[in-house]
Amino acid sequence: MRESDRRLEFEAMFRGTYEHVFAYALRRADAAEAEDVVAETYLTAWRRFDAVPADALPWLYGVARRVLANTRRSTRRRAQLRARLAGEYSAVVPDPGNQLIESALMRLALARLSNKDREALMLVAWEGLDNERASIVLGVSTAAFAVRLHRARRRLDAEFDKLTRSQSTDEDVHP
Amino acid sequence: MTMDKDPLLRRLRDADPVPSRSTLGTSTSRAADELLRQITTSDLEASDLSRAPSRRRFVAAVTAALLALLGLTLIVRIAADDSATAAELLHDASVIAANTPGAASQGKYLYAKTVSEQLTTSGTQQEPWSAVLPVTLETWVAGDGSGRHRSEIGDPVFLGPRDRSRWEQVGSPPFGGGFTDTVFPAGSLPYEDVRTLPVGLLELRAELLDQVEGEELPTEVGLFLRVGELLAHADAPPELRSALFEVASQLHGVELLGEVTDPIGRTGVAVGITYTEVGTRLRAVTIFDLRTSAILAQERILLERASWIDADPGTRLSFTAYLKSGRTDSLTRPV
Repeated sequence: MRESDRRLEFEAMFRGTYEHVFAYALRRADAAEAEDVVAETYLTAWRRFDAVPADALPWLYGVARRVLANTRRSTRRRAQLRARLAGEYSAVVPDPGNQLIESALMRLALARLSNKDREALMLVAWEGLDNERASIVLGVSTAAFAVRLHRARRRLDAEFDKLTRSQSTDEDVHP
Repeated sequence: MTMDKDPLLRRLRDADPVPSRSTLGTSTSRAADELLRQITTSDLEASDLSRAPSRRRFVAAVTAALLALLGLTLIVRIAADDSATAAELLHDASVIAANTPGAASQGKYLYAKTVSEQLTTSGTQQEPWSAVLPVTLETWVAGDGSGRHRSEIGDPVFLGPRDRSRWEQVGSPPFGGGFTDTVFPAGSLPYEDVRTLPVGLLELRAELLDQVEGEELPTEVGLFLRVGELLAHADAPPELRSALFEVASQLHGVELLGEVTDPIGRTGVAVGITYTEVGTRLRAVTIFDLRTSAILAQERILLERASWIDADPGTRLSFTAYLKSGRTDSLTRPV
C-alpha cells in the first residue's frame, strides 16, 4: 500500500471510530486520562495498521482496554469510577419517581461489580456491541462471553435490587 | 441475550453517563483533528502525546477537591436525614481512601502519637471497682524491633462515687502513673509491616480473620476493631485502606451512629457494633473524618448498667484518639 493510501485509509478509520473510542475511554476514566488513552490507542493503530481488521472498533476497544489497564492499577481506577458514581448518587435529590435516581443507582450497582463483570455489561449496554464483537474486545470466545455476560447480568440485578430496597427502606423510615 | 429484549440491560443503557455522540462536543472534534494530524504527519512516541505534568497535577487537585466535596455532601446528608447506611458510608469512605495519598513512607521509625483513656477494673468479685486512666503515648518503632516509648499516665478518673469509695476502702492503692521514656534495643518492640497485607477483599478478610482468631470477642467485633487499628496505621497504603473500609462495609451488625465529636473535640462520623462482654452490652465505635478517611478515634461505650462499674448507660469506658503518625529517621523528634 502506498503511503498516501495508507494515510487516507487510516484517516477514514479514525474519523469513523474516534468518538466511539473516546466515549469508551470517557466511561472508564476522567477526561484527561481518556484523552491519553485515545491518543495511545490510535498511535498503536497507526503503527500496526496492517493488523487492524475491517471492523476496527472492537480491535480499537481492545487496545484501549489494555492501555487503560497499563496506565494505573485497576483498584485505583475502580475506586475513581466509584467516586464519580457515588458522587452523582449523593447529589441526587431523593425523589423515588425520578429517573435520575434509577440511573444513579444503576451506575452505583455497576460500580460495585468486579472489573470483568462490569466490562462485559458496559460493552453490551454502553458500547452497543453484540456478543460476537464484545468477545473480540475481551479476547475470548463468543460462547465464553455469553456466559460471562449472563453471570454479570445476574450480579448487576442483585446489586441493583439491594440498592433499590435500601433506598425504599430509608424513605419509609425517614419520609 | 440481547439488549432490546432485556429490561435490565435497557435500564443500564439508559444510565450511560456518555449517552450520545453529540455530548462529545466541538472541542473534542478539534482535539480529534489535532491528534490525527500529529499521528499521521510525524513519527511520535506515545509519551509525546501525553500532557504536561502540570496538567496532571491540576487534574489531581480537582479530583481531590471533588472527593472532599463528596465527603462533605455525605456528611450533610447524614446530618439532614440519616438516609445513609453504615455500609454505604463505609463504601464511600473506601472510595475516598483510595484517592487520598498515604503518609510519607521514608524514615527508619514508624512514629505514632495517641491519647487514650484505659479502663482498669480491680477489687474483689463482690466489690469490684473501676477507674479510667488517661494515657498519652508516643512510639517510635523500627523494622528490627528497636525504638522508643514515651508515655505519661495521668490521675485516675472514677466514673461514679461508688467506685471511688471502694478504692478508698482498700487503701487507695497506686495506679502506677507518671512519666516514662525508654529506648529499646533491636528485637524488643513488636513491629508490623502492614504493607505486605493483601488488598483483595477476600484475601484481606481471610488474613484479618486469622489475626483475630482466638480472641474472646465475637469475630465481627474483632474484625471491626482490627480494621480500625489498621486504618490508623501510618504505613497503610491507599489501596489497603480502601480495602479495609470495604471489609468493614460488609461486616454484619455495623451501624451508622451519625456525626459526632470525638473524645478530644474533633468532628467526625461514627460507626459502631454492639456486643456483650463480661455479661454487659457494650458498643465499639470508630470515628473517622469522611473528608479524608482518616481515623480519628476508637472508643467503647457502656450500653447498660453493670455490677462492675458505677456508670450510666452511654458512658464512654475507654478510647484511643489518634493524633499523629508517620515515618521519621529521628528517635528524638516526632514526624
